[in-house]
Amino acid sequence: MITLGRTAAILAAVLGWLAALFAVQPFDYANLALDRLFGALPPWTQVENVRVDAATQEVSRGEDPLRSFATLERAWSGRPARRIILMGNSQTQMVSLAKGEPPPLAPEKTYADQLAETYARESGALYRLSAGALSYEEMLWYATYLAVNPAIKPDVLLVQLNYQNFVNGGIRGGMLSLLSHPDMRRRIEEQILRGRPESPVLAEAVREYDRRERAAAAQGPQGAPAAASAAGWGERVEAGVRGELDRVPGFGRRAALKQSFTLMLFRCRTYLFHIAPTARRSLGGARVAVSRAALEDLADVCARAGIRLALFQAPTNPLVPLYRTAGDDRAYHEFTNGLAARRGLPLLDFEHSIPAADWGMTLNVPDPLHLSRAGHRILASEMAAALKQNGL
Amino acid sequence: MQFNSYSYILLLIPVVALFWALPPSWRRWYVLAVSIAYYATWNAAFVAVPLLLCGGVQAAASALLAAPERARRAWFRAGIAWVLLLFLFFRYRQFLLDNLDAALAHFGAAPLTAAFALGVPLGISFYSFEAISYMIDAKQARIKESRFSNLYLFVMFWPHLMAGPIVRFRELVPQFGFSKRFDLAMLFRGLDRLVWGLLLKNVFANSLGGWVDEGFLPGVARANTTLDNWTLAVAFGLQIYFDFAAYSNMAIGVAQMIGVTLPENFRFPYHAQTPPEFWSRWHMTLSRWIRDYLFFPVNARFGAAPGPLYLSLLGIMALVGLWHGAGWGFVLWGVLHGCYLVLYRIWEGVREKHWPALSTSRAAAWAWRIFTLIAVTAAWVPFRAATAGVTAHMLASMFGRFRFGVSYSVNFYLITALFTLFCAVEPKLSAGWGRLQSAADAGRLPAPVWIFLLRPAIYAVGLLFFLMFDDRSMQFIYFQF
Repeated sequence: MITLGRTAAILAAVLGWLAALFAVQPFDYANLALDRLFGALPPWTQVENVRVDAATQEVSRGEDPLRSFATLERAWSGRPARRIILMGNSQTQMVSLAKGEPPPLAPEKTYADQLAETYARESGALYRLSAGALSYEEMLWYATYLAVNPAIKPDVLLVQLNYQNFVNGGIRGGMLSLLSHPDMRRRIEEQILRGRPESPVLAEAVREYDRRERAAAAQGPQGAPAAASAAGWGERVEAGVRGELDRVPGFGRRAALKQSFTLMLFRCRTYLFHIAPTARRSLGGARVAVSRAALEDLADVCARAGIRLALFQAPTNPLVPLYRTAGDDRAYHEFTNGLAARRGLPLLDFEHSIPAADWGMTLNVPDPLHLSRAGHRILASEMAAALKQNGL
Repeated sequence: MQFNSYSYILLLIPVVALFWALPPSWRRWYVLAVSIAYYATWNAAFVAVPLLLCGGVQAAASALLAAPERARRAWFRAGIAWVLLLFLFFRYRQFLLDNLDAALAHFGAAPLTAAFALGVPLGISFYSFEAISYMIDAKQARIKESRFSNLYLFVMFWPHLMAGPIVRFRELVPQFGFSKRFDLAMLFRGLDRLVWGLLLKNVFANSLGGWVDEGFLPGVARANTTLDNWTLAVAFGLQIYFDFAAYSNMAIGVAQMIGVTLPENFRFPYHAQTPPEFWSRWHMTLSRWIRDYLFFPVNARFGAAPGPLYLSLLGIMALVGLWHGAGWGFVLWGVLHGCYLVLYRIWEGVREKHWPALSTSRAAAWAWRIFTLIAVTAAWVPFRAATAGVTAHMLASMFGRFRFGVSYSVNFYLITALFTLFCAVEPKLSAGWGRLQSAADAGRLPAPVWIFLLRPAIYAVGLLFFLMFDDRSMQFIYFQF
C-alpha cells in the first residue's frame, strides 16, 4: 500500500513538473537572457502586429490555404479588372524595424499590402500568397492549383526570386490539402510521371496526403470513432486521445515550445558560433537543381494556363553579402536571367533597391531578408512603378 | 499503436497498475490478453498469423519431443518448413512477385501482383526467428516440454513482439511465472529506459528523418555533392541507430516495469573498433541468433578451412541483409558487411602469421577503428537508397567522383555534426547517469529529494521534449523488417 502511494506520488510529481514547464515556457526566458547577454535589439523590433486581411493575403501562411482560397474566390467573385498574385517568402509578410524606427502603434503594412492598396484604387486586385521559406516546389504546387481553378486564376503571377530560397525544399503539410481537388491531383500526378528532378518531392507529398486521409478516415466524421473494421483500432484510439488532449488547456502550446527551443538553438548558433543567417554561402548541388527545375516547370504551368508570369529579384541587404564567391553570384544571375530570356518573361530587378539603413536587425546582426518600415515603403513605390512600366 | 504514441503511453499506466494488482497466477493470462489486444491495434485479422505459426510449431515440437530418435528429424524439418512457409509467403511474396511480373512482362503476360494484394503482418521477421530458435532448441533437447500457452506468450509478449529484442525461449519463459514483488527500483529502471527511448525516437531520430528522406530521393540524390552524400550517410546511420535503440529501450523498459528482463540490443555500436565488434554492439540479439543458430552449425559442418568459412560468412550476411527487407539494396548491405568481416578475418590470419607485434599496435587499432566507421557508414547507402542507380551514384561521389559544395540548409550539417558528437560522448553520459544513480542508492543524495523531486523533474523534461518533437508521420524504421 505504501509502495502504491509512493508510485502515485511520483507520477503526480512528474505530471506536476510537466505542467509547470508548459506554464513557464522556459525557452522564452532563455531566449530573452541570451538576447540581453549578447546585446540584441528589443523583441518589438520584430513586428508581430502586421496587417491581416483575408481578401488580399493568404493569412494561414501555408498552413490552410484551402480555406484562404475559398475566401479569395468570394473576394474575386466581382471579377476585378486585373488579378495579380504575388508569391514570395517571409520578406513579403514581415517587418523588422531598423535602429531608430519607433515601436509600432498600428498594424504595420508590408510592401505587398501597400501594392494591394494601389491596385485596389485602379479596380484591380493583388493577392499575397506567401509563407516563410516558401520553396520553389511549393510555388509550383500553388501555381498548379491556381491553374486548375478559374475562379482564382490570376492574370499575372508575380514570383519572387531569392538566392537563399533555392535551398528550401519540400511541400509543407498544410498545403497537401490542395490535392483534394481532382484536377490538381491529376496534374501533380502527371508532373510526377514526367520524371523531373522535383518529381520525387511531389510524389512524397502525394503519399503523405494519402496517409493523412487514411488516418482521418479511421477517425470517422467529426472526431467520432468510426465503426469497427477488420483493420486495427490503434489509429482510431490514437486520434481520439489526441483530440481529447488538444482540449486540455496549455497542451496546444507544444508547437510554441518547440519553436521557442529551436529559436534558442538558432541564437546559440548565431551568438556563440557566429553562424548567422548572414553568413555568405555557396549554393549548389541537389537542392538547387530541384528548385531550378521546379521554377522552370512553374513557368510551363503558367504558359499552359494562360497566366502571365513575371519574375522579380528580391532586395538584398548591402550589409549582408549572400554569395560566398563571385562565381556564386554569377551562376545565380546566369540562371535567373537565362530563365527570363529563354521564356520571354519580365524580370524586375530590386536586388540593390533598398539602402542599408532601411533594413532591420535580427538578433544582433543585420537582417539578410526582412525590410524595415521605410524599406517596405521604398520597395512598394519602386515595384508599383516597375509593374506599370512593364504593363503589369 | 506505436510505442511513442500518446495512447500507448497513457494506456501503459493502467495496464501496468492492473498487472501488479492481479494475483501472480493470473498475470500470464493477463499479459497474453494485453499482447493480443496490442497486436490487434495494428490489424485484427493478422492476429491469426502468430496463432497459426505457433499452432504449427507447437504441434511439430510436441511430436518431436515425443518421437523416437529416428523420427525427430522429420518433425524438426516440418516445424521449420511451417515457419518458413508463413514467413516467406507474408514477407517476400511481393518481392518474388515483382521480379516474376518483370519476367512475365517480357512475354506480354499479365502481372500477378494484384492477385496477392495482402499486407505484411508486423513483427513477422522477429517472431519467425524466435519460432525457429524454439524448434532448434527442442531438437537439441534444450526444451523438455512443449506447452502452447508458453510458446504463444513467448512469441506474443507485447514489449518485444514488433521489433525484438530477439529472445530465446529459455531466457524468457522462466520469467513468465510473474512471481516478483513490485518494487520502486524496478519501476524506475523501466521508466528510465522508456523516457530515454521516447527522447531518442522523437528528438534525435525524427529530427534527421526529413532531411534523410529528401536527400535519398532518386531525383535529388543524383545531384548531391560529395559532402552531401557523406553527411546523408552519417545522418541515416545515426537516424537508424537512434530509432532502433529507442524502440529497444522502450521494449526493455516496459518489460522491466512488469518484472521481465529482456536482453540488451545495442552497446554504442559506432564505438566499435573492428567489423566483428560492430556486430557485437549492433542489434546484438540478432547477431547472437545468427551466430548460435546459423553460423556455428554451418561452420561445424565445414570445419575451420578458411575458404568455406569466408563463403559462409558472406552467405550468412547476405541472408541477414535479406531478412531486413525484400530488396537488393538490403542484400548488398549484408554482403558488404560480410566482406568487412572476411577482410578482418584475413587480416587476423596474416597478422598472426607475419606481424604478431601488430596485435598490440595502437596505430593498427586506430586504422581499423577508422576503417570500421567509414565502412559501416558507406554500407548504409544501399540500405537506404531506393534504387541501385542511386546507390551507385552516391557511393561513386563519396569515394571517387568528388563534387564540392553543399546543397541543403546549414542546419542539416550542423545537426548531423551535433548528433555525431552526442554519439561520441554517449558512453560518458550513460556512465554519468549510472554514477548519479549509484550516488542516490548509496544515500549521498537525500532519498526524498531524489525520488520525489529530482527524478520526476528529469522525467518531466524528457517528456516535454518528447511532446515538443512529436511527429506522427515518422514510424519506427525497424517495424518494416
